Formats: sequence, C-alpha cells, structure tokens
Amino acid sequence: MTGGDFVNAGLVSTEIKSLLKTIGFDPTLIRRVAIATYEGEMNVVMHARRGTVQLLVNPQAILVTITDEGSGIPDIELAMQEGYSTATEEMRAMGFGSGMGLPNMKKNADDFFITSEVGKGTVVRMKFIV
Amino acid sequence: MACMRRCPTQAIRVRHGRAQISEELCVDCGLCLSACPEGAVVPMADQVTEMSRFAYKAVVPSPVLYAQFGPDIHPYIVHLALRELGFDEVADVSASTAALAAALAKYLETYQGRRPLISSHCPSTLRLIQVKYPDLVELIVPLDVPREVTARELRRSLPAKLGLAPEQVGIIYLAPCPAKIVSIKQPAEKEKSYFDGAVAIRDVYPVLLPHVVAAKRRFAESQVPGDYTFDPGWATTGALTRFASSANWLAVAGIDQVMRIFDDIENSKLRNVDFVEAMACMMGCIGGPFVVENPYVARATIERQRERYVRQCDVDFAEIERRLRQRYYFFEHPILPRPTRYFDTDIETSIKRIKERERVYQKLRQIDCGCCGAPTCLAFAEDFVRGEAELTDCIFLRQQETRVPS
Repeated sequence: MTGGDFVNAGLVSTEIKSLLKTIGFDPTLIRRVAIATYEGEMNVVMHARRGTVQLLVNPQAILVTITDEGSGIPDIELAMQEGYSTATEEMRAMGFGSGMGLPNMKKNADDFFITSEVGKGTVVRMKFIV
Repeated sequence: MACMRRCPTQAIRVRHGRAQISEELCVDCGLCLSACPEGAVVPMADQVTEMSRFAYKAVVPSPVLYAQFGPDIHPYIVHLALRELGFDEVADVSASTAALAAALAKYLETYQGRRPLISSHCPSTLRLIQVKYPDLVELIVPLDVPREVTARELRRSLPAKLGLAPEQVGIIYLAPCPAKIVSIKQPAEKEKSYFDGAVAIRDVYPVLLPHVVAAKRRFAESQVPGDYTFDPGWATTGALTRFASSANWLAVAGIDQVMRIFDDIENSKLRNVDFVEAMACMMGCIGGPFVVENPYVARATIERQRERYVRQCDVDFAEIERRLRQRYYFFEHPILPRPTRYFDTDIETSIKRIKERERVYQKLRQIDCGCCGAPTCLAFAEDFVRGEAELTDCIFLRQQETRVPS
C-alpha cells in the first residue's frame, strides 16, 4: 500500500475478504476482519509513506498485521480516543477522518496491539478468533 | 468464450467446446446472453402462443415495454395493441408501484437496524447478494415487487369478477430480463409466483409492433379511460429513490458497479447512506438483455413520457399502513444467504487448498488467456485444486511438458 494513493485504497482489504470467503469462514467474522483491515489500510494511505498487510490464517484464528513506514503516532492513548483525528481538510472532504479508525479496529478485533515509533512507523496486530 | 469472460461471478467454464454454467454461482444477470455471438445461451422464457390454454388472458407489461416505441406512442396505444394481439386484459403496474413506494418510504422511516438497506426489486441483485455477499442479506428490504403485487391482486379479483375458475385465468408478465423470468418460474421468495408465465419483451416486440402502428393510426386521446393510470415506474436507475425520497440514498446500476458498492458496504465505508437502490443492468431495467431499443434512446423516451403521459394514481396511505401491519407487502419467505462452498466445509482443508491454489497460480503465465476454458488463471488454479481441471489444459504448461530437450 502506498501513502496518498486514494485510487487503489481498499483493494487489499477487498482481496483479503475474497480470500476468506473462498476459504469459507463465517460471514460475520469476515465482516469484522474486512472492516478492521479496511480501516487499517486507510490509515496507511492517509498517514504513512507505504505499508504492508500480513495475513495469517488457521482454523482457530485469523491474524492481521499492518506495518507501515511513516511519521508514527506520538500519543497512542490519544489516537485511540473516538473522534480524535489528525486528518487534513482534504481527507475530510473525501469522507475520511472521523476519528473512528483505530477505535473501530479495536472494537472489531478480539485482540488488538499497537506499537509506534515517531519518525519510523506503526505496527498494528489484530487477532480474530474463529 | 465471450460469455465466460463476461460472467461477473465466474460461473462459466468452457469444457470440450461447450459452455457450462454453474447453477450454484449463476445470478441470472443475462450478460452471457448478450455476450454470446452465436446466441447459444437460451433462457427459459415462455412464448405468447402458450397462453392459448387459458380462457381469459391478462398481461402485465414491464414499464420498459412502453419505452420501446418512442415518445409519440401513448402508453395506452400499447395497451390497445396488446389487446389486438389476443390478451383480454392489460394491467399496468403503476398502482402497485405507487403503493410499494409509499410502503417503502414508511418502512425506511421506522426501520432501526443496520444500514444501508438495499432495494429488493432487481432479482439479479438479490441473487448476487445471496451468492457473493451473504453478510448483506439482512440489509435487503423485505418488500415484494410491483409486478408480483399487481398479479396477486388480479388473481384475487379476476376469477370472481368473470365467474371463471382460478385455473382458467392466465396472468403473464412481459419481462426485460432473464432474472425476472427466473423469479417467476423458480421463485426463491415465495412458494409460487402469482404469474402463470413470462415472455421476453424482445420475443413479443416483432409481433406487437404492427399492432402498435395500426393502433396509433386509429388512436384518439379521448379513448383513454378515466381510471387509466400511467407511471414509468422504477425502470430507470434513480427512479425508485425519487419515489422513496429518503434523505441519504444512493442509486447504482450495472453489475460491476453494484459489486464495488457492495464491497464498500461490507468494508463499512458507506456509513452515512440509509438506502441503496441497486440494479444489475446498466441504466436499470431499460438496459435489460431482453429489450430491443437502445437503453439511452429508451431513457430519453421515458423522460418524454413522464412529461406527457403520467397519470398518477391516488395513494391511500392509511390503507398502506394497514397492509404493512398485516405484512401484505412482505416477501413470503425470508431471503437467505446462498453461500457457495468453494472447496470443502472443513476450514483446515480449505486453507490447504488455498495454499495449493497459490502454488499452482505461481506456475502459470497469469495472462488470463482463457484457452484452458476458465476465465482467469486464478480460476483455473482453483479448478485444478478442486479436481475439475488438468494442468495440461493450460497451453503453456502443456508446451513446457512436451518440449524435447535438445
């Protein structure tokens, strides 16, 4: 995923969703993974230079790791608050930046870990129990 | 192979020179029909002549039919022409359209659950949701469609009015697409359709046209009865949302665009939208595979007809609320997901097969040439893993195998 590439934003989560559907997971579980992955993907597009999504799947759990290279998050506790956003005017004009991205990811995942280093980037790990 | 490439759900494989359609994946959109240069895909439509077995024949045309003849043809001329063709009664869907639009507005107003709701009047869209988007099934508005409500009321009133046995009265639909014909012949939302048959507009058009021309010559505006109503209905994209006047709506047409919107809904991207009108054909039903007129011309005609000939019917809102409470307008059966088991019911085996699919896919050229009979290299890899294709079906792998080392 490339920062600022709003044209292709969402393709990765759609592909992951299609893969999970092909495997045959429960639709409600797939929806949770899709929403959380999409939010993560949008965060990379909005706030980072580039990033990757790693998907690990086994019959017990789905693990999604989103790693990006970017400015990082100085205050994670603040960033996790609903409604807090550092999105620009332009991003808001595109319908993003409501400050619900990270809270939504946490809400949809069974386990949620986030680490970030200012100036380097952010890693989000999410676990979804089957 | 044009059909195979055009299929939005990749339901078609060409094996031994013949196209095979997977019933499990087919959503009745009819794109294969339009794509096939040979006309080899034959839909399950009825013919007008089959109606002779009924003592009394009523016909319900899709509003798309009126748009096939140009803006100077009053819709009532088409009614007269259908009578001359042998129908005893022509019933318009406009009364049911107005009633259902009011019912939909009421339903949206009181609905409290997950959003956006999705329109129910395009059967191909319903199949698409059932097959590819099972998680969205609960968002489909559970209200029946104008054509079925019209036929239901005819079925209730006609036999008594005419003093005939119910089976002597035939009610037939003139359809713009195969999806509506399938929804009548093999309904998923009820035990049995209220129609006895369905004819494709393109099949009735050549025999109807001479009667339309003749009826126009004799026609005078004074012939139109006082209780006649006409509205072009929901045949063009955006028309239903105009009726339902919900604040945050979205109208989408064309199956590829519909799928993009459904992906967005699944990703929970369209949070501020309350209602989505989704139609599988480009521009709505006027773009159906069974129409004759170019859809852009048809839309221009419909707009002219809207200006010139609309006669709205009165809507009794109290009666509609009463019927809603009685669930009169609701589908008989809930719409359930029809998810396809791509591999196996067991998740572990599925994961192994997905890995195997990836391994095979990496060996392929990934140019989606289609020579193996599958629409894409990925679909071919999947077919192989399922045991439905041989690696040597791929012309490139076959070449590698047979090449003799020098």
